[in-house]
Amino acid sequence: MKIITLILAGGTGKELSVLTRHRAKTAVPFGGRYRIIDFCLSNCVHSGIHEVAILAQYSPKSLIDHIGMGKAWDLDRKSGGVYILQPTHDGAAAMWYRGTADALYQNLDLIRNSKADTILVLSGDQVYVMDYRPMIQYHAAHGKAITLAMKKVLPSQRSRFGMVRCAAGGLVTAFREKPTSSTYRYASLGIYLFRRDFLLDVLGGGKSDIVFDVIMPWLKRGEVMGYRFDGYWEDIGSIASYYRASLRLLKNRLMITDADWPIFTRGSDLPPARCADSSRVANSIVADGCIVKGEVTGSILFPGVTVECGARIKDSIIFSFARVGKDAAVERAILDKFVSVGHGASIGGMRSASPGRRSPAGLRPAEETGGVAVIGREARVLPGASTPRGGIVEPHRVVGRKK
Amino acid sequence: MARTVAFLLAGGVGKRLGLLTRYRAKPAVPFGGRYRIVDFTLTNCFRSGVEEVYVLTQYISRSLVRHIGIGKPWDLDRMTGGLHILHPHLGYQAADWYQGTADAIYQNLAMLKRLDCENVMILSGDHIYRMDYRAFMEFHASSGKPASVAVVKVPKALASEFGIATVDTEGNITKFAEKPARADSNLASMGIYIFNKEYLHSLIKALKARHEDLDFGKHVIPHLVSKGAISAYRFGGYWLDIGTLRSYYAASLDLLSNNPRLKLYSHSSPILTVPDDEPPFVVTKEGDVRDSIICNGCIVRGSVHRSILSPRVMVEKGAHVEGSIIFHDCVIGEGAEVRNTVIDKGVVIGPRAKIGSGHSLVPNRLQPALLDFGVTLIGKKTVVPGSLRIGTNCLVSGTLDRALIPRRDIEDGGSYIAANTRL
Repeated sequence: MKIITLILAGGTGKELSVLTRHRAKTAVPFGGRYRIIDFCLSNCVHSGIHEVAILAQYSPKSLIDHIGMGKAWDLDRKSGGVYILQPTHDGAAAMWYRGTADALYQNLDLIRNSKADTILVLSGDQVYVMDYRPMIQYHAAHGKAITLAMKKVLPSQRSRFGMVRCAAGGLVTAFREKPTSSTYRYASLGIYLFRRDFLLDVLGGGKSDIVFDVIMPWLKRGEVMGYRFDGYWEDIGSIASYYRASLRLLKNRLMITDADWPIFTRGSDLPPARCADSSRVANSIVADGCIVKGEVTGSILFPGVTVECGARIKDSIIFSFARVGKDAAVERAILDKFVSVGHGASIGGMRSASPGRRSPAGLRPAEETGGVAVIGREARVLPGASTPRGGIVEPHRVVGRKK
Repeated sequence: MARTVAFLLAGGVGKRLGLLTRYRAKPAVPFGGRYRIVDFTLTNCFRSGVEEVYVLTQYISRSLVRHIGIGKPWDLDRMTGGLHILHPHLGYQAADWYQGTADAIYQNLAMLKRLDCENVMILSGDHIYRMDYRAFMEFHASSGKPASVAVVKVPKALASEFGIATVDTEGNITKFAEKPARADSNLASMGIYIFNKEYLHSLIKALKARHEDLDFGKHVIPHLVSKGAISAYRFGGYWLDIGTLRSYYAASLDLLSNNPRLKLYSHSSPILTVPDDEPPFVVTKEGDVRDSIICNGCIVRGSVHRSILSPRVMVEKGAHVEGSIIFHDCVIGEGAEVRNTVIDKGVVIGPRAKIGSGHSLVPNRLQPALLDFGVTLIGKKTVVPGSLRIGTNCLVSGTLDRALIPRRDIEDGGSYIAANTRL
């Protein structure tokens, strides 16, 4: 069986607020040194899949930088390997990818010219560890056109997902996209296997969405199988789910520390993390190049972060090369790359102003992020300034007044 | 600038590093958590635009060769130039082990002749420093002499450990003494030279006839000084030839001082080494890390103070590590205590073992010159049983197949060396 993987990485990722202002959702940093896409790429490599096309169109620069020629995943290969496919001009018309199925359709030549008999379609904005090989075997054994991976979810979660009803033999008999309530117990994970000839036949003709235009019509013909996956899987669809999935690593770190299933990513040349005499670091994940002189608890620091003396970082996620100044306080916050927090400043309300006071300029209300403050790339919070719980600061903004 | 090719001497035994060089050449000894000693010289090459490097190996080179690979971290995987390893070899002309530093060049003389370059720079893989060789090359070009040596100030008290040069204001060397009992100067040769290639070729050929074990420090430099053919370039930065376990330990812990002499933490010019695939380091709720350097892949459930942990070290609950340097893949068991100890790769310390907690300053009885400064050394892949006590100045070496060492406490200055372990 020969597999080619297509990773859908085109979404605008509006849900991730300022974190996706300048980068594709798949390239959002995760877990202290990774990007979200590293998880499915590593899954592919560990599953013996060596040809991966990433279909991207929104702010791909940071994704392109990250993937490079695929060396970090051993996907810099003579044949196959990893490549990023963006929408192209076909001579007659320039076409953006108008949906998941359309993105596949616009790259139909890739599938046609490939020797693969099975097409694995993944979503680049999910965090999970999965061996695709048993699913591929399952797909081959049943000989149907489509196999989708699914997972049991709690009733309270069902409105977030495409819910699947599955017969005893594994045949999918019904599918409802984000139902307000549902008795179907399985959520589709956005992980699909297609038979090559089927996919070549069915795409085109204005089909734009995999779920509505491909899965739904064909399950009526009994061509869709459900493959049950029981491991941890998270779709990074909101700041809240991003924050939850990240801090979950502090309790359940095996996803990144399993020596038998390492998550591959682009290497860094930074020195090891340095914790000074004045530091207190507990219940945290700290990457190389960090210099910690203050207190860090329940948090994740990406490479090259500096935490000065007396600074306190609690329940937060700090991206690469951010700097938290002396005696500053950061709580329940996500700081994007190169953010600088001045001396004595406060993020996320640890020392916030009394309620009712007007928010400083550049801030937006808290509801959007479920109480997690998000500070955009290269924003500066000046000494003594503060941003409230859940406050959002746009990239490059300056908060506070210069003295 | 004249085209310069570098020869990196990396065959040294490094005897005075004790067990750390039992299974590896000195340039391959880990330093600063994620680096090997040779990384510093290769990084200098990278930053100085040196694009052709020949690495001369001899003593147990497997670990070094694996580390260097095709030179990718230093952009030395190139179509032209690049990195090449020259092992001692049999052949039509040369057919011997390298008998001395300059003899290593002699054994590769035919290759040297063919090199397309004007100058040859001789480097050592044993040194820890940051140096821009371009300034040295410019100095050499303007000196008008066929050879140049880099010198650095050392404390007078240590002068007897180096080749000491007396240098006039023009940079001419008026006197050179290898490891003098009483030194006239505090300028030490760094063992780094630049030669005009053709000159080096005929010089080595001529001198080999006189000295079978031809050595740069012992023979070549004194000869050049007597002829007035060499000038000295003063290097003003931090430079360290890690000679002994004591200086290795001191240089490592100096990285933890408030103002370390070696600048590791430069985001714009990091030291380059082989990249890793490890996750960031994890400290759990019970964990406590301070005044330490911790590499990716470590998991700390206990406390780690004033220590350096290489990648993938596990410190279990209730364990305490202090004043110690722990190499890759070690496990410090629950409730164990490790103080002032250097632990080589893959060592397992059993639960509640107590290492290096002695107080007396009895030097090690087997190797008093190596271990007399209150530090214990544990060799590669040693497995220390739970609850065992090992004092200070101890030397402990198990077997590579990770057999438990015998359950017998080792008092201060004591040793346990498994059979088949050469010291």
